[in-house]
Amino acid sequence: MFKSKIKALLLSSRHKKITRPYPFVPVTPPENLRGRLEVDPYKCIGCANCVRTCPSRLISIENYEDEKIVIFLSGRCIYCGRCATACPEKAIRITHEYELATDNKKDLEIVIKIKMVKCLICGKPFTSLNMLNKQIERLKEKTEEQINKLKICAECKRKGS
Amino acid sequence: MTKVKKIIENISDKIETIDENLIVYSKPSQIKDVAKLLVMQGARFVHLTANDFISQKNFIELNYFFSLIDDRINIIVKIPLEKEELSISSISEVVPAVIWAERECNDLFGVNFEGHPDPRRLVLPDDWPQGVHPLRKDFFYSSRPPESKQPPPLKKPEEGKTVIPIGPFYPALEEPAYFRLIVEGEEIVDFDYRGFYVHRGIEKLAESALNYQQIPFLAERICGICGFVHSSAYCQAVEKAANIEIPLRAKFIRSLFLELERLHSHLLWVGLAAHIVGFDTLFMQAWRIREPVMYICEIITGNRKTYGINIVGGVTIDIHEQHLKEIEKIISQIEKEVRELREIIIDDEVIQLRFKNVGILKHEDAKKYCVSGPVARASGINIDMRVNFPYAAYPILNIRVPLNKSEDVWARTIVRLEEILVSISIIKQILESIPEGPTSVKVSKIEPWKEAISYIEAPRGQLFHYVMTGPDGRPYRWSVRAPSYQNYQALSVMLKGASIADAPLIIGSIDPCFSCTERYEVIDLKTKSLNFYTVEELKKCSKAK
Repeated sequence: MFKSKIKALLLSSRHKKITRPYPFVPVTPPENLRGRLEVDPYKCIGCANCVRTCPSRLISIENYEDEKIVIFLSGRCIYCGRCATACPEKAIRITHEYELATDNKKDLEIVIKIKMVKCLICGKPFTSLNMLNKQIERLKEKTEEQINKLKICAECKRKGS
Repeated sequence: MTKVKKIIENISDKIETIDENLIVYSKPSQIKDVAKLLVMQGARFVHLTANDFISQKNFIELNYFFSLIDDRINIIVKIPLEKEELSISSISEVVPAVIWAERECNDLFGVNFEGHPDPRRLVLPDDWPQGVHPLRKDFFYSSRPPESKQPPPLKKPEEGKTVIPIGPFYPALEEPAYFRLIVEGEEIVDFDYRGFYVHRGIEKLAESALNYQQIPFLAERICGICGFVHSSAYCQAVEKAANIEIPLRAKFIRSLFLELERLHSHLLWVGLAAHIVGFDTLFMQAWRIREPVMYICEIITGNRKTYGINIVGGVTIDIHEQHLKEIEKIISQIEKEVRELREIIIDDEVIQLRFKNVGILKHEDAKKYCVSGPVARASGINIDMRVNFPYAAYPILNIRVPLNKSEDVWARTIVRLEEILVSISIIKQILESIPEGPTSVKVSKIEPWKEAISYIEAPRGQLFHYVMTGPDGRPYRWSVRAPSYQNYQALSVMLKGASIADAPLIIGSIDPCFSCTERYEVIDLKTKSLNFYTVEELKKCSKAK
């Protein structure tokens, strides 16, 4: 009886206080911690890859006349980081920020507006400005003719050829 | 396999063999005979679920899952029930373990089981209207049917017996659950459990809104302690159905985390068991020993729990050399401390007096209720999915299954303490032999209408996942049976004849996963009548004051 109690006493006396004085002393998060999302509006091309992969289905894209609005309702985020892996442009970055408590859910929302480009022929918006700039950058010979070709939507291209 | 096949052949329409599964097609009138034959052959009941084919073929298909542990065969008995006649005789006389599964099928699919001993609601809330069955395909996943008042499905005690409600907030484990002990004096004579208050409709959501790669993250949230087993089981089932062979390194990483999870889950339980009997020093120490496991998981995956690393086709992270070294350091430390902990528990007379000969689950009863995990192994049943149906990296690893034959809470404690040490030895083997290579493969299109079963030995016992792939990029049916589901049903046997003081310990000894409640039961002392308050009424009460 006493033997076991003495052993328990020894076991607990060997260890001092192990709790950390958080939040008075900040804690460095581990390297792989997945925290708040950060979205770069200049990189996003509105491809909706993240919309399809998000398990909590919190990302939505609304299409308007001359812009696309990407909304992240991050209050529902489970911080799995799948959107960042799926993003082809690396526009979504996962930070180490984890102290996200708030009394207003709206604080966590991320809203991004992407400018759309209208087709030179039919006038319908067909691609995002970021995407077009990327395509222009990739062009070998940046002549006016080549650039204008990119500003025509697929449908008009088919009709023209 | 041929022997079983021959025996069943006479009473079935068709038999197919796919991998290790024996699929038996039969008629509704023959189910009792089929079940009897299978039980006589030593088959163990696993789960019963249904599959709604009303829109395609005008029937609901019942799937009874059995397994022959020694031969490593799964037997699926498939029985179609015409839409007009959704009724079948209950097999609870032959297999008592089916009781909850049949109640669940009745709730979610509207299948009537004739001669069921306890046809009350199990899963659906009390205010859910009659005749609305949420897992049928014509029920839209986000629709909310109107509330309807029903009498609460609670057991009425016999004359002269008293009800002692434990819960709705279970005091010892600090989780919400609602147990009703029906007592005569000090002795418990009957037991009733009303749970499923937070049945979240995870299966329905997965079947109607998510895609294959989103579901692992949802599956991981089924349980707060052993979530990784669920995502692994789901991924394995889909990989089996789609014939995806994942890289060996991914298998080892899954096994590593499954063992780390068992380690911290068992240490958590040891702490809680000590806490229930008032030995708080041990509780604190067990949890302190557990903490480094959480740290190492956080360092590797970024999260203490719900690691979020499983996807169909492998895992999303890789483990570096320095992580492996750190794990080795941590588990050697834990091994040393767990041995000390075990000595303290074994030498302590007070713990022995509280644990020994309490909550006895006899070998036959354990077999009858198909309990699994440490509860079964403490009743002398040699069952461990890591050995019986090896998955992930377990075929390569050497596993010892600790058994105990004393059938009480003490046996469950000893088995769990042994299992911690077994887990540590498995982790050491994994660290030694983890191969290099990629950690995931790319998954292309998954063929529809393929089905697969996957088992995992969760810390609490045998976990079962069933997946039937569907045409829309998501499973047509995904069924989960957690180990506590079977273990709960054996509680009535363990509690009968025990004294009230032992009830929290016995309930705690199966390491249950709880759900929370929405209603309180109040006994009016003056009139001795039972009053039930709904959430709205309680809100009104609190506002009035």
